[in-house]
Amino acid sequence: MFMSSKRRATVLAYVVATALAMSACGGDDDSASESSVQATSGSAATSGTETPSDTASAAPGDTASTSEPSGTEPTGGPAAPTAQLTIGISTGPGSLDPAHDGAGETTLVHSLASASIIRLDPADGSLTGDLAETFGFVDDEFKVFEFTLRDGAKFSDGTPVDAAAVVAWLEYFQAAGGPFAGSMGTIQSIEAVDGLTVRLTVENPNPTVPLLLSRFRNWGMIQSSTALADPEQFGTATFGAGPYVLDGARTVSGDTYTFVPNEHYYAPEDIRYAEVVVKVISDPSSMLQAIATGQLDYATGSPLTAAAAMDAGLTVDSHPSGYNGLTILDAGGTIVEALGDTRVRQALNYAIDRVGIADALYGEYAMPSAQAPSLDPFPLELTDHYAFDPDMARQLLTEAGFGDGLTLPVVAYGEPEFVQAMAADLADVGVELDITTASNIGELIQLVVGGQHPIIVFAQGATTMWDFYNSNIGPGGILNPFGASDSEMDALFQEANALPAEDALAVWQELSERHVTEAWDAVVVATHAISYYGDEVGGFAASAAGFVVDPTLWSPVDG
Amino acid sequence: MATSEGRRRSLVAVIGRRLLVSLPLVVVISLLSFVLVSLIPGDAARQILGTNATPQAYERLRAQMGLEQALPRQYWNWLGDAVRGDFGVSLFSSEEVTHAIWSRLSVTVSLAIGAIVVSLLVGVSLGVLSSLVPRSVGRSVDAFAMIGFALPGFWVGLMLISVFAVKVGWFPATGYVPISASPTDWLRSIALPVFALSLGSSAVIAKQTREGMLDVLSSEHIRVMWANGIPRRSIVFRHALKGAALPIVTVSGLQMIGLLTGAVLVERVFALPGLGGLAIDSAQRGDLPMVQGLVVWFTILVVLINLLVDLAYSVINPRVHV
Repeated sequence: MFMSSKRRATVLAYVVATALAMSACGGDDDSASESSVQATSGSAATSGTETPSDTASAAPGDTASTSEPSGTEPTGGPAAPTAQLTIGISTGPGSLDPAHDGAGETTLVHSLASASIIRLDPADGSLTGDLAETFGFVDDEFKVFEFTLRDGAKFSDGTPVDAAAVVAWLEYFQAAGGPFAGSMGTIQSIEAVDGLTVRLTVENPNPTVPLLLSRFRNWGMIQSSTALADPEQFGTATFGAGPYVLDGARTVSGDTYTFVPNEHYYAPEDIRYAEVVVKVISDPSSMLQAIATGQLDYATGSPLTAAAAMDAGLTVDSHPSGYNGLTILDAGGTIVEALGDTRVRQALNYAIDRVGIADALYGEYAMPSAQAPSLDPFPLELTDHYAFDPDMARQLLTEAGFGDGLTLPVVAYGEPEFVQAMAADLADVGVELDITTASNIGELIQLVVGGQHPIIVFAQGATTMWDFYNSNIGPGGILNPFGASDSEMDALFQEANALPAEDALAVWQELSERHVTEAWDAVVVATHAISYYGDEVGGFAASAAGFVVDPTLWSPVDG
Repeated sequence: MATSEGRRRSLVAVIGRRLLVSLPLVVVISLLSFVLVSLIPGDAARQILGTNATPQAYERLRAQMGLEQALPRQYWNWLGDAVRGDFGVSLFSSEEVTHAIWSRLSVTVSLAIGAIVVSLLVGVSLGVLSSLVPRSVGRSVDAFAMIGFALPGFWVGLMLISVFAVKVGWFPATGYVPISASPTDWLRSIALPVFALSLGSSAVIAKQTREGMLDVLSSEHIRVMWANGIPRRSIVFRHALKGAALPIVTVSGLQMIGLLTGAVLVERVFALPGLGGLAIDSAQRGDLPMVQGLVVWFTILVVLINLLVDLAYSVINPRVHV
């Protein structure tokens, strides 16, 4: 094909025009992910993972009072907010449908669009009413739970929050088969007693129901029946009854989530921002740079960048939120006979230098601990039950008949330095770890259920002892795939379930301590959730008991 | 002599033929990616359920997602929908695959085009310069280009952020502003990542340009031009560079294809919502519909880039038949 100069110019013009068009195409007009900080900044601590909290499960017959909406009394309507809040998190929600998503940082996103039936206070973990005005168990066995909704609340699509909608949501949540669908245990019935009252009946005692109906495990974040009829709508929109609603046109899934005020929110005076932008920044250094340059008001932090954050003049908050160590799946010795011997498991605990590892890898942002932190507020008195004592470890191994050494297949997910540090300590006493690395959580679970690995290593969030027992210790627990059992821990679980919350606490503590003394696992560190914030945002609160921070409670600080 | 109408029809026919020929390519690549992603341990159901993946919950969710079907059936179902333009929804977020890709396309294209433009400007300039100056200077330019090639793009990005975003505040540390929102802010938001990305490409193009220029400058017809007193500028830019241009265009096309997916680390550092990051995350999680959609789109982009390269050939050298 021969071309004249004019022809060449035409082709060049096509090339340039195509290039420019491609760079302008795609996206939406304002899918901007650059977060310009307005006059608001700063935040309280947040937990990137679960944090210990008070499980304020109501005693039978008790009802909890409604939390009064905060803010000034409206006089002729609240003034429209003008400030923008920009938040940085490291992992975005897998889905905008709370029934199909996990918990942790993503809870922060869901909280913006979804009020919950019961409010979990991030300041102290207390439970008060949110969409529910009153709530409580109506029997003595913690099986029948009732709550009455506030009148007049609506979802962001304008449909009413009534008993029928809540029943539909709870049934949908259970049927959706998401991560927490089984958290309630077996549900016998969910029924609308009247237009605003719902009764939930579970088959087995579950004093954690009030906590589950908060934002703790997403059950409480009810969504409009409009979305339940076609869940694919969750791909680009939110349908909660929270103070904000997703602006899909300015949202890029997995990167930027832009929220604007929900005109149907039941407490409009509590909407304090004209816009809330959540940015997903996976690299800790980039997160620090973003908040240091004012692009973010609040950011989840990391032990790697905390010192630099302080040097940059940011406030750094941290509180316990989870733990890590050797999770022993085969405490019964099914595939590795040695692990069925308590002395061997105790030897693993004695062999690991918790203080050294915590100090070297986490600094002040983790605590050496042999006891897993819990959301149940009992004191952790066995954190140093296993002092670093390699000689004791060798002695126990010899007594158990493994003085010549032992090889343990381990699956590890994340934190390779932590795994290697433990491996080095264990090698000193003759225990070799044969490590398989999982590249994602799905592969980890696949290897767990594959039945070839007796131990796994991955960071876990603190949870209630009820939850902990059901997943780690009880029959059928995902982290007890070989069905190991301890009759005393089983009995303690049954006992705690039959008691009011205050009385159950001592039993839960006893269960947790037996978990330590029997060396059911080798917990090594209690990890912290770390947050960075400035001074421009008020009302922040976070605590070990409060789970994840709640940005709907924040407000701009003038000046 | 062909009429302008005839030439236009010829160009359209060429483009049409290229796109038609790429269809079997798209099918083959999509099948290959489907198989490869299926082999990654830990499917989407396990990803979603995590430690709550009791056997019953897992089987139920797998059935809901259609993952219990045999792989050939899953692929056939996907292909049947894809030919109708329906790439399905993400197994995780339920977001339409097309929407997810479309919302990120401008970022990736901006980065790739920006990086290749900068690479060409810097690389060609360095390459021409190093071919004209004394050998020692030329080698210094070569070494400088190689350092740029050796430095990882994400590291360069972190350094750029540290200096130009944090210390002097000229550019944003993270984020992307679409050109439709603000051309100025768009330019500021891609400046640092484009520079970080272009360093390696500049080195490759500089090297290619230098070699090509040295080759052409030593040719007989160029020596004749020197002897005839033709101005240096004309010799270098009208004749020598033109002679060396075709390989430069080829290398640039390959670099641009590499930039499309190779930008993922830079995307992470600058928190840019590009296709590379989406591809990595989707593949790791086993989000098959998203991966398949991305594969199709990437293949189309590669075909388009190759087409642009060929058109550039015809502009540079009219004797080249496209």
